[in-house]
Amino acid sequence: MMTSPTIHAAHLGKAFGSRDVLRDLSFEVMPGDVVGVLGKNGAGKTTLLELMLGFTPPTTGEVSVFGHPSRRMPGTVKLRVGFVPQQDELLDPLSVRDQLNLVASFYPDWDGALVERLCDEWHIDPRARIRSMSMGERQKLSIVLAFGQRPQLLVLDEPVASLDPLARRQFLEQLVELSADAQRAVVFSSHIVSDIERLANRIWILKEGRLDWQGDLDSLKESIVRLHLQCAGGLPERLAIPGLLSLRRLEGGAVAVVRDWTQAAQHELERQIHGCVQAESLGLEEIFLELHR
Amino acid sequence: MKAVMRLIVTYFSCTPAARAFSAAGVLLIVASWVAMRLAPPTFAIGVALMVGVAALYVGSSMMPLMLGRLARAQTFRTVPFGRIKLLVSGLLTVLIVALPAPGVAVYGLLMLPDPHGPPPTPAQLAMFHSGLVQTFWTTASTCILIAGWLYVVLWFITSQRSLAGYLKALGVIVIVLFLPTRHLSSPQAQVAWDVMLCGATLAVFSILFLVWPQLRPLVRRIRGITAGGERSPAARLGGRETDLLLGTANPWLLALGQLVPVLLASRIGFYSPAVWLYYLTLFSTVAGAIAGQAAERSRGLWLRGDWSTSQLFVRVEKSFWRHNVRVLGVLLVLLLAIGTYEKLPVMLLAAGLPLIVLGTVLSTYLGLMVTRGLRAPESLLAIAVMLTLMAVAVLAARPGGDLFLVGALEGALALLAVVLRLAARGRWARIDWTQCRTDRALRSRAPA
Amino acid sequence: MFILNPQSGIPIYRQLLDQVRRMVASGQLPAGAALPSIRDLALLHAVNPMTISKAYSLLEAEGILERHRGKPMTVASQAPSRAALSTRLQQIAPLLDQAVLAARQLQITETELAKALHRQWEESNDD
Repeated sequence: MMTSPTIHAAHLGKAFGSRDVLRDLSFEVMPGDVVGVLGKNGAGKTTLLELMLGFTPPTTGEVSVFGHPSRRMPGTVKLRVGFVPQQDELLDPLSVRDQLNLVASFYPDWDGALVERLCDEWHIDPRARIRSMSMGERQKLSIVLAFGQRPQLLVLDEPVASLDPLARRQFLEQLVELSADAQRAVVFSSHIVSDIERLANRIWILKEGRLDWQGDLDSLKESIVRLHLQCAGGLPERLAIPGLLSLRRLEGGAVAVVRDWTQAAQHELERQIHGCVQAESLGLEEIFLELHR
Repeated sequence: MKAVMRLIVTYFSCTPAARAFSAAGVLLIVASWVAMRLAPPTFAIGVALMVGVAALYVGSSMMPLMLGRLARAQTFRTVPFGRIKLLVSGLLTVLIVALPAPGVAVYGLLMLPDPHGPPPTPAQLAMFHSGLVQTFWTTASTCILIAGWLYVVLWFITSQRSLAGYLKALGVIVIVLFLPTRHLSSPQAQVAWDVMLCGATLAVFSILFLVWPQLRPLVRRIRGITAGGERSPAARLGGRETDLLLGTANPWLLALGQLVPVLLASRIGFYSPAVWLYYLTLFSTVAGAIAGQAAERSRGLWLRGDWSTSQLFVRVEKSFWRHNVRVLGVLLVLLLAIGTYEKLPVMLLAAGLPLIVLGTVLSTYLGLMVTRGLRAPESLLAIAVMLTLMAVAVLAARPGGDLFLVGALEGALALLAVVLRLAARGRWARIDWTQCRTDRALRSRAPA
Repeated sequence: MFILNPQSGIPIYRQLLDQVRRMVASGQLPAGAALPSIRDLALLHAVNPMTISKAYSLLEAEGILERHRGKPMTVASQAPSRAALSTRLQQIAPLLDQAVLAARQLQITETELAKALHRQWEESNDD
């Protein structure tokens, strides 16, 4: 039985006036996916999330959530979508408890027990006024509000930017619990690459408005490697290295970063330089940096 | 002292627009003063003076916001006597804007020679001078209070958004200038009372401002006690989610806050059309400012609720009606009571009260139309509507005025309200939340 | 039980795969030993449960682990030697790689390396 995608987008594009922010994006998010969205500041991560949630109409292409165009999601679909924005939308004059009750009143499937437990574990005082909470506490509260909904699609925009490492770990653990349920999908954008590395099974790298990489994290790590070339007689002037991202010549060799690396390509390269080639696999942060050099 | 001067200069020149307005204001005031020296005062010179003061106001319209943020800023606490300097800068700004009008006007009256009559006797001259001095003090203190109040209004408006506040402040301030000019023609003899009232208000405000950091924890504790522990659950909030999210949940704040300007205005004299205009602009401005944020605040509401954007508009509209009905209700009752007490002409009340309602309604729908940020079309429309309302008010207050014309104009404005509603509704059906973004940095947060 | 490094260039599932294989081969994980549940392991290391699940499924396909409905995965009772030679050889391929590389860097010839290997083998037989 084919499961239908949670989010489906075809040739999605968004322009603000004459400025093209996103170009020709096509992707699918299936239930059970945890998608990490990486990109430089201004790459369009927030715009992409806004398109997915129907906050803004696409300039080209289309995007649908649970089978409905995101701009026209019926109430039943919106109930299943949770969102944690980059800047919280909490109401300053309310107390935490009032804010929780306010949001709870929208969702018949509200998980009050989970919310109580999270407030307890994450040290959120229900009697505190939101006006007097720090940025980190507000962010934690925004996250709790989203979890309380028990959403089937959870979209988070830089959810942990203001959290200390302990709070971030607690948040990660909660996301792990959520994603253990194979029916739920999570899309989150973050600068904190290590968090994405732990949690995401699919990675989207946004570069200049396009999806530079869109696939499994595991495949990404296996695809992009750093090659250490050693050649006693000096490197030949012209090197043909397929999928080359960057090359730095050194004494007695070079360091190259390539994508779509294969064993065959390595042997071929060794033949070319009459030396030896060692492949080093890279962590996600290194990969991201190399892709943006 | 240098720091205070620096602050004041910053208030008047923080943006290119502010600099332009302040410069224009200073030029006009100086020009009118010079003109008063050289020629007998005319209506044109008076208008130039008033426009100059208005320009100065607009140029300094960021003062309340900046003062508020500096007062809350962490870094400012390390500045020696920081809070006092802030307070002094604020008060001086109020004086700078409040005093030119009475000062130059009284100066003009002083310069007024009587070419045809016999030269006045020393006794007559002395009485004339003392009368002028009295007029100055009375006018000045009233102007200071009004200026202060206007800055409070400005703070209310601009602490939500800055760009809209700028343009709306223009409307408020231009209107209010009528008050001092009216006052000049009907001086009151209670100088000591006026000056004392002014001094007392400023003193209370200053003391509160200076000791606020010490008072704040006390206030919090009091609030904590009166709040009484656990609040009741969602039942209490039921149906009011929209109100809470839009900021219309507490109409009594505004409804009762109207008492201050009512008290102020009733002292001055209620029969001038300027007073009607004052209320008109003040409350429509506030209503419009709140409504202007509805679009961007409704994003979360749309995602959570079972409403399409068109249905959402209807809900939002209802929320504003719930809010405005209470505010307007209190205001109309107040004005009616005062109007009866002061024995105002019935016709003026009959025309003035609906005008205030119209102002609020039009302003609300104009605010709701702001779904793409405040741009030229919306601003121009807002200014045009304001000017029309002002014109109608002036017409209505004129003795022997043409009431049929006033009625027809009010009818036309009511029709305009219907049109604006349709336009707002259409915009909401197609709303794009990426374009409603205002400068979120303006929202103040508690220190981490 | 397992050391997982999410920041490594080696995908998490592969790290787990390698470790389980080695522990089973060395006897650290005897036949019938239960492995932590997917959820527990994921929570402990704060990683995506799917990556754990992927490793477990692959190990199950290789015959190293056995799945029991409603109970944790256990090490298969079959001896690892039952697995195909090619699979087992794959296990030590990285170690061989390292040895070959080190040998080249030290300018040790293939014959010399083979001799050294033979010596090691003889010595371990004596233990």
